[in-house]
Amino acid sequence: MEDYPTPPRWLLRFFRWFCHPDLQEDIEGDLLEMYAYQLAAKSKWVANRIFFFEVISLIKPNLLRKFKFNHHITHYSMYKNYFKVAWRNLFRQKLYALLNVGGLAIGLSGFIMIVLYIQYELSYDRFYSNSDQIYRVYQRQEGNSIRGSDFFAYTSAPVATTLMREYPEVGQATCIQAQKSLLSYQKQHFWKEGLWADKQFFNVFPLSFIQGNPAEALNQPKSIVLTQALALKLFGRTQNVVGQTITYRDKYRYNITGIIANPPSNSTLQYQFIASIYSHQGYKRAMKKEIWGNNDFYTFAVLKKGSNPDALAQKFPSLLAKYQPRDASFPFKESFYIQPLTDMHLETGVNSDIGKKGSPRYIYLFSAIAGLVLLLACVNYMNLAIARSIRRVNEIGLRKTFGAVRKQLIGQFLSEAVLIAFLALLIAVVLTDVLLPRFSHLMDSPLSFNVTHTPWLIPALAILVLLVGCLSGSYPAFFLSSLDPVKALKGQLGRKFSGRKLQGWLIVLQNTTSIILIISSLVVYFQFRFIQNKELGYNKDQVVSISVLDRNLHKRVSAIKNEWSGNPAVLHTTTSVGLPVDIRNSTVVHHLNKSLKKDGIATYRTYVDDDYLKVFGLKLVAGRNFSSQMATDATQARIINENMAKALGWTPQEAIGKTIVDYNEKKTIIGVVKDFHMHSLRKKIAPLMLIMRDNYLEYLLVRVRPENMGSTIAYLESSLKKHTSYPFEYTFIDQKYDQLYKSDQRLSQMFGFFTLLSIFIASLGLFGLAAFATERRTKEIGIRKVLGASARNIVTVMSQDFLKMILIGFVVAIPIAWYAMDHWLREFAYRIEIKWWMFGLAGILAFLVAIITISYQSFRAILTNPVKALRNE
Amino acid sequence: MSKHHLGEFEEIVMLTVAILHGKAYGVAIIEEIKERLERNVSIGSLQTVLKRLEDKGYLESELGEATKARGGKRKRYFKVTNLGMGKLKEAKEQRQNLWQAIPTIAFQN
Repeated sequence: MEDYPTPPRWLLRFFRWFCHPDLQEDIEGDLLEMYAYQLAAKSKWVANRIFFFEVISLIKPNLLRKFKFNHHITHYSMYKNYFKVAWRNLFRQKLYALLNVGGLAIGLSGFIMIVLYIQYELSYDRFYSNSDQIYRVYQRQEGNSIRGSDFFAYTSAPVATTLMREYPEVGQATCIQAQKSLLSYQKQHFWKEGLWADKQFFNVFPLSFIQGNPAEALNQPKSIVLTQALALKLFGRTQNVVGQTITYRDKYRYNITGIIANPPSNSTLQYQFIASIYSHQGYKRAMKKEIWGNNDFYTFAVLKKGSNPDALAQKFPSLLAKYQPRDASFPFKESFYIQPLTDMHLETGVNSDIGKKGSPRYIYLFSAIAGLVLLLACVNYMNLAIARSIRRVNEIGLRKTFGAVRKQLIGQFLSEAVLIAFLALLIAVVLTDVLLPRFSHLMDSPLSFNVTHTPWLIPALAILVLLVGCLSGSYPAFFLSSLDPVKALKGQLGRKFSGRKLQGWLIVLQNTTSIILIISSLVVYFQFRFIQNKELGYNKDQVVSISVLDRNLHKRVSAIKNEWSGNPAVLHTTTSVGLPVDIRNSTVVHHLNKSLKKDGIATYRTYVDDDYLKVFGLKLVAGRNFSSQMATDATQARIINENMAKALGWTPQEAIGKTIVDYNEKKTIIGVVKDFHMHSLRKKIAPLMLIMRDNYLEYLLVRVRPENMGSTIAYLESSLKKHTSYPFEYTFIDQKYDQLYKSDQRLSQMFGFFTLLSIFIASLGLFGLAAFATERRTKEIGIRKVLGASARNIVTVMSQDFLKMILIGFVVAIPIAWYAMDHWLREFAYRIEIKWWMFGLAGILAFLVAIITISYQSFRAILTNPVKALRNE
Repeated sequence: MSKHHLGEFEEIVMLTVAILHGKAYGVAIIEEIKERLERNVSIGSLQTVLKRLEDKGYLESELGEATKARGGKRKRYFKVTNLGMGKLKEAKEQRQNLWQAIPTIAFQN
């Protein structure tokens, strides 16, 4: 028998594991010999079975290896002891336990919330099965800069189909327009946002259908797919809705061809319905003659797996040259760009973009804050642990005397820190659960703290606890384990052990951070107040802005204005395209005898009527207002702002009566209006043109009396109902204005919140340390009192050290805070200056908080009878 | 003499080791018992007895040469020690005495 048959390996391995090593070899030999013998006589299955029982039969006490039970038992009891000691320490010193665990919990909770926010922001548009293959095509018009960017999200209608036809790597491409629309069913009108899309839409975005067929849903004109939410709103059900019809714009019958799920909140595309773009007038017109250049649509494409988007982008210039050739007079340089769908949410530099925008800067900023808060909490723990360690010097000495090696002590302290971190995490989880709704409201994102949604949460939190525990426990662990046991037991370390130096620096670090945050909050707050109180050049208060949804309403404007002027609560009424708080429409004009290309002046424009200046209290510097009596005003007249007059090289007076060229047409300047802030204060005032227009309007703007606002609005609504069946949607101009600064407001609130948090954590640390310092110096205070020191003397003595640290922190914080806030303020064309008193205020605040924190302890020490303090030995 | 008495299986194993004289290793012992007594013995029950007897000093063992068969594992050869031999003889005598003590009349029915 040369080749020995092998029995089941796992059994053999099992045998080797349990058998005593001295006996293993020959018994294994016996087993193998027996197995071969059985195999020769019987089937493999029987032999294996016998082998199994043979192995089992070998599990006999005197044949087993020596398992190290005894060894384990000693370790176990040691760990039990560690745990017990840690627990007792926590309970004996309840205050410190509270500060420790509480501080850490608050820090962790802040950290978790910010991480959830960041995770949410990064989760945008990742839910499609082909998210990584979807790209959007957008363009740049060099020279056509609107509010600081010359990128535009819009493309021409035929781009999608052309991409599919010309480039094999483009699998699918779709053309979309987003438009709020009036949908009606049985006389009920709904004004809902939706998309108009071509038949490739569901190939690019594979959305799941509850009813209907995605392959055919958008093929026919006048088909519409509803979301579940809209179907429920219109019909009260989702069953048997497909095949029904609803009315669009109170006129056209649309067939319902499908029901889809509501878009998730982290989707760039937000819609209540998706309608077939083949019934869209602009699209039909553009596609019929393949007209390029009327940029009005969004283009999305799916690239085939493995194709390179950059390579595709390099072919775009030739595409543009072929389909969108521009003659020499065209003022801008056009180019196409491509971008992954998943980058869109954090892309803020594209005009007319679709979807809600996040801010990459916020993500960086908040990550930094999250890290900082966590660091502060860890530092706090470290500080308190060092302070407490004075009390534990004896324990360490004793452990060392009994033969504990350094490694074991390090292990003990680290695991203690991890234990506390774990406790803190439990509290933090509860805290997060309570605070998250508020935080999500503040951040305007539906955040959820849900393990089933985010399965990585539990392992991530476990790692976080280990990390926090090890980080915050590291110093006490390594330092305390290095103590000399003899000295430790003699109590010779209490006075001057090296932890105090580090403690000092940690306090400096904490205070630096808090002071930086305080200064930043102050600057953000004052800038925000500046924005709200800034003289804008127009009166934004008490102006009601009514969105005009009905495109035919312009025919009735004069009737409406007439009617309203009869109501004493209404002062003036005007119509406009665009609101003065944020004028987006722009064009390029030039002097009569100069070329557009070389001397064009980029200017914003807005369409108004003759009451516009009155409604907003705009002042004319020169010339006259529009007049409905002058027939030519509607076609040829322009009112410009001072800034534009300057750009054209005229004083306001000179400008009156001059001619400029706008779209190859001559226009006459009839008035110059005083500059006003038509954008957010981030942007400088730019040239602006007011144009009179009466055949199209977006808003009815009404200046009303401040009294009885409610009844005035009720009046406006009921009056407007007589002229249109569209719903009444209104807002106030000052609210619109505030919306411009929503992100700044959020920043301000976030800063406020985290400033409070950091001050709180820093105070906790200071409080704990002061308590320890006081305790350590009980005797000293006693002696001082006996010798006649006053309360003030003692408080001074006690707080000196700490105040010194805060002073250092303050000095370090100033340049950092100044640099950071100066950087932030530079974003605003109109801003406050950072003043010295802001630093001063922050410093005083930090000092006050510190003094209150420390003196509580000092006063306690002062109030105790010195005899008690001196007797206790 | 000693307080320990050989068990029945222990006695059989020792006797078999003695029979195999110098060639007594695990499988050989099992085979021998099977052949002579028609009794199936598992490796486990044999090895535990061998270990026990060795611990008591009735048997001694040494490892043989490595062989290619048995997966290259060496055999452990057992030998009855003098102490073991004494114990066996003692057991035999005890039995003998018992046999002789039986009155003849007992065999008659």
